[in-house]
Amino acid sequence: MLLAESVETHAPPRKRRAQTRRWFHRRTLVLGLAILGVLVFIAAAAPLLTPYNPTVQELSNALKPPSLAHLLGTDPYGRDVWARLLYAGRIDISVAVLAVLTPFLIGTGLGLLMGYYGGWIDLVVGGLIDLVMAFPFYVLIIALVFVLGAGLQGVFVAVALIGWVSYARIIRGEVLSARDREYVLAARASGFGDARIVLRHVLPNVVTQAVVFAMSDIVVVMVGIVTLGYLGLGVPAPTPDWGSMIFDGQTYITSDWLIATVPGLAVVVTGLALSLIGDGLADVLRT
Amino acid sequence: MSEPLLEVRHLTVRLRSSRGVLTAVREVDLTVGEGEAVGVVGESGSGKTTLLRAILGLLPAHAEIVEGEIIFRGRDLRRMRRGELRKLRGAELAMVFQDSLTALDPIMRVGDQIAEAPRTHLGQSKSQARATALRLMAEVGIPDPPRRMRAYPHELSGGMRQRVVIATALSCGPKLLLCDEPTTALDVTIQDQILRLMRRLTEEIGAGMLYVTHDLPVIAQLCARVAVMYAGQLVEVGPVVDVFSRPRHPYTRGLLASVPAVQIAGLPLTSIPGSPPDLADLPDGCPFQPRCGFAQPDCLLGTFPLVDLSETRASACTHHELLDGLSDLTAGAR
Amino acid sequence: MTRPLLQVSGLRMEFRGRRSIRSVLPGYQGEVLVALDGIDLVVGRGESLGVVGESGSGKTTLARCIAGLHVPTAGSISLDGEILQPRRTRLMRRRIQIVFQDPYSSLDPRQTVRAAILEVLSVHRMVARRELPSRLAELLALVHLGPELQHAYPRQLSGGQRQRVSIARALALQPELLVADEPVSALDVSVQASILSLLLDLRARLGLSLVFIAHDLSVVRNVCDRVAVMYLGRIVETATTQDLFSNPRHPYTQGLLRAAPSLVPGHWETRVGVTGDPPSPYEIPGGCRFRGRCPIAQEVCEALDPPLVAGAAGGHAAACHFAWQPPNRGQGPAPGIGDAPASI
Repeated sequence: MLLAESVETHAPPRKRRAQTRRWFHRRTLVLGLAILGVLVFIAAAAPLLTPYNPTVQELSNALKPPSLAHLLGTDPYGRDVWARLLYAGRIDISVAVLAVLTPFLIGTGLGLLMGYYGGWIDLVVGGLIDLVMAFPFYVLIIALVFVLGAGLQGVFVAVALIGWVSYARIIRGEVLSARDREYVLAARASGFGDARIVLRHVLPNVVTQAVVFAMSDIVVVMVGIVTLGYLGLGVPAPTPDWGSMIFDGQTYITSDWLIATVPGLAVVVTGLALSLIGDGLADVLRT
Repeated sequence: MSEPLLEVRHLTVRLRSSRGVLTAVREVDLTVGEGEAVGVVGESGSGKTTLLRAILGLLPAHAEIVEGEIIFRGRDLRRMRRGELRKLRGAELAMVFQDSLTALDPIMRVGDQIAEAPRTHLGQSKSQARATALRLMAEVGIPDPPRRMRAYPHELSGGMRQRVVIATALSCGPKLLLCDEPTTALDVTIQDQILRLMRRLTEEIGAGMLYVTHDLPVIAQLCARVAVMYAGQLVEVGPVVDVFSRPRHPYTRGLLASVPAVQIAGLPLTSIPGSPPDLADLPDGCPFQPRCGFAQPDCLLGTFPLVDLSETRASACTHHELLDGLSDLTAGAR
Repeated sequence: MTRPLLQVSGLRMEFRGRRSIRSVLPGYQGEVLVALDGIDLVVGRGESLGVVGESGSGKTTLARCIAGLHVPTAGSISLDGEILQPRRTRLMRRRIQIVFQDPYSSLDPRQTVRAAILEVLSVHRMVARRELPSRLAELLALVHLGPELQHAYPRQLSGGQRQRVSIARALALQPELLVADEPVSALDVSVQASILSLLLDLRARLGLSLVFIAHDLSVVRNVCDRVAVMYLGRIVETATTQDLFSNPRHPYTQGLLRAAPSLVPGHWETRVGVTGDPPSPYEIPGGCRFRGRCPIAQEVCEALDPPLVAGAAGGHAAACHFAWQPPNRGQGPAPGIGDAPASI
């Protein structure tokens, strides 16, 4: 019988290995991950890499040039710049990651609801998004931190209150186009519940864009936190932070330029690594 | 016989893909005479679109012509300088693409798009080109040209857009029209209108046509000769009347038998078993052999080039005599 | 007569323009697209009904309404005598399944064949847990897919293979009615025939009822017992497949038959298809909605909207003022009626 012959048997399922290899072909991604890996390792291992406490002042030792004892010299309060740099990295990187994760989760959830159900939730949340988007990012953050009070907690809440907007917009748009794709219709026709459809079939196919955006968002948020630190609105005084380090060091920029430049460089390198990761991820996930 | 309009000799195109280098078009010989309409039939992946793009010199970056000549009006297109080729395209050589929405510039009014080629290639003034566009729009059956020429592509229906594409292709009086399934996305009724229009207009200006499609009935109505393509090679060539009534290759017969119009209600549907081969991993011998109902032991060995059977016909099947005495499939459709 | 499996009565579907802030204002209407305008049809148990029309005719909307993916504005759909509610129960969804047109988008790109079918089976608890693998193997065999393909992702499959997976997924729920929305129009000719014969075979083996949507009359000819021709949201002619092809009564059906190119070279010379574009479904003309493209339109066609009228045995009905007038009386749909049966 003819039917029995019409079994189609080409294209054997490709090996998973080929796909893993594709990841490593993205040089930007690998480079970014390598740089970030080193930075995270250094920050995490700070107590092992320096004998100094970053907050203990030793005024007799102020403004020392780099030496074997103090790799990057000391600041006007006699604190070791290298130690402060490492401990500041711990704070800045982890706060940035956390401050992106929360809005990512809130925004993704709201975006899914808006895109999938539409209706009043789309109108209400959409209006809120437009309202937030009408203000410049930094102005809003700074204003919120003033209201909420300076310090880590204030920064964190401020970023979360504003950051979710971008994620919600991205996810909503993606869901809108995915919702009418036939595999979502097929899932509905199969009698699946909304929760299953949204979480198992819509989310995995739309989250890519948001993940890619999160990578670049971490950079923005980190720069934001550093900026707040510079303005004295971020991490409170004795705790080291790249922003406050730059502020403290800028007075001595002509004589002891390392104090302000090194934390600035740290911000740039971290930002670069995260941007590379974002670009690489975009390449890998979108194909 | 006079010199053909287009002569493709031994054309071989290779593609680099993630799975290695594969031959998308293999040693293809094909001619199109002045004013002649030739159809190329093949399924997806048969290399028919690559062939068309190779002729037009618009292969993607990962594709390369490794052998062969493309002679258009006595000149080898492959040896032409880029500037010369560009002058040819859109003027003497025109192409009609499958997707009318992407073939048109979304932010340019359709009238300006039709007028663009006459302005650049024929040096017409703005008002002359406008007049040309109006005349062409009327010719391709777009109602109310003065109003429609100010429309953007997305404001027109699929059928109207394809008419605009055809008007653009015809704007400089081409000698050869290359068509890549221009009606596949359209409804039957609109396809019917567009095909009739294309045939009438190419006859009027005496243009040759190379029409690539997987739709055999379209070829039957539009073309005088047909070339059947399988796995990058031509497997049968001949006049449409002869090839469709008495195919000389089992693949051609299988394709004809799959056309719904041929199939009679109540009888089991016939189809070609299996699917087209992976170009990166072709079977031994004849590429069609694993799916062929007439395959013999010697089909597994050697190569199977197109061999002339008569003045007008050629087949790549060495056992084509096995097809003798089979019923005429077009008779059922008559 | 026994109770039909599927009965659609007076089905109407309107789509409103984009939701905007204005849409919450009272009395806001916006643009209304009437996709379905009073559809009545019946599908018997084990029967196969073809629905044919151009794009914009509403055939896909009809398929989705039947499958419960759109909630109709008015009218009712009943299965086995039971009227289906707007929010269908899981059991009702199970009994009506749908296969989509585009095999490239109807499977979740991140699910293997196995995962997709097992998900359907386990959500509906179709079989006991330990019988899942054997049921999966059975389903794949039913659609003639090799067991080695179960671990493949959709992008690794050909169009024909994907469509077989879609069919297997639909059959996993043991539906009584299968709605096939242009299941072969995105496929190559040789693959089309194999999918059509698969559907025919399944119908015979499983006693499935079928609603088969197509834009091309020639495709439904081999698969369907009856055919309904749609134009701009209405059924304009319905008959047994045999009657429709041998004696089409509506000028639109006649045009559709003439428009399909034949495999016989030169067949075209004598026949003209349908002229013009279909009007926008936002601005459906008054009177007969086909009159703008109709070769035999008269004054009455502008004034009166012709209802679907049965005029011959076997439930052959057509919505044309002249459908059942004897020929040779001046206004009959004379041109082309005689040669139409030979055309496809």
